[in-house]
Amino acid sequence: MDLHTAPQWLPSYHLNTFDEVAKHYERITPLRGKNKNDDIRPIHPSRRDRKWERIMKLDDNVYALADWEGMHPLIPKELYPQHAQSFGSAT
Amino acid sequence: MGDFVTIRTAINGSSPSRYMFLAKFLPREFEYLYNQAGRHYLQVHGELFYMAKMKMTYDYAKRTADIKQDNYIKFKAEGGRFTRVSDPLPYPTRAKDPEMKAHYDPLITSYWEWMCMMLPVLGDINAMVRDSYAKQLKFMYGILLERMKPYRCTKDT
Repeated sequence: MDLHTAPQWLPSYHLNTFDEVAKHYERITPLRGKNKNDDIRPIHPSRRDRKWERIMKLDDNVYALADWEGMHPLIPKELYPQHAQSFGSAT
Repeated sequence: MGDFVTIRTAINGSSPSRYMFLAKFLPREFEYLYNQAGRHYLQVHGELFYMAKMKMTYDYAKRTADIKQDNYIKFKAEGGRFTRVSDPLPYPTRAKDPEMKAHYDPLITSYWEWMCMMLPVLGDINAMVRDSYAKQLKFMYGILLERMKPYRCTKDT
């Protein structure tokens, strides 16, 4: 079986644990300007122009990393965890 | 109890931007792979996990989404290692209906045998080869008829 990786021409940013994700979320400044009320936090700190790649806090125990497909405007916000790559911490 | 990561790949159809997103932002030990057959896999600590696309329809009028099949894979993080805790995603196979197979197998076999004999006559574009084979068949059939003659019942005898 010949397997390939997806092409990457943009820098990657890997978050391994729940604590890393939580710290990263707190560290990122939300976008300002016309998006200042939307609490948009881009995942990659050096690519804030790619605002569709964002990190969201859904709950104290659940964070989601989503691209545009994962947060389609038609998808209700309650379903975001089911459409995004989510990091959860069960206690 | 513990840390979990839930991963979903594209919705409904192919989505190269989603694949690049996964390749960029998955945890370090994860690698997103695909093959020429369009099957997608996650490689975690050298182990491959099949990734199936989820199926969902949007209702643009009501602004809702109806999830037909929610395919995701969930890992638990423990001491830098990830262990799959969700069920493995269904790998699509071409399952055969046994009744249909029992019905069509003898028909296909007889058709195959007939074609093996007749294809040189019907399918050869070289007229010389085709005609010579047809004559050969005719000749063989004639010999057969001659041999069967003593045993045949006709109106004269």
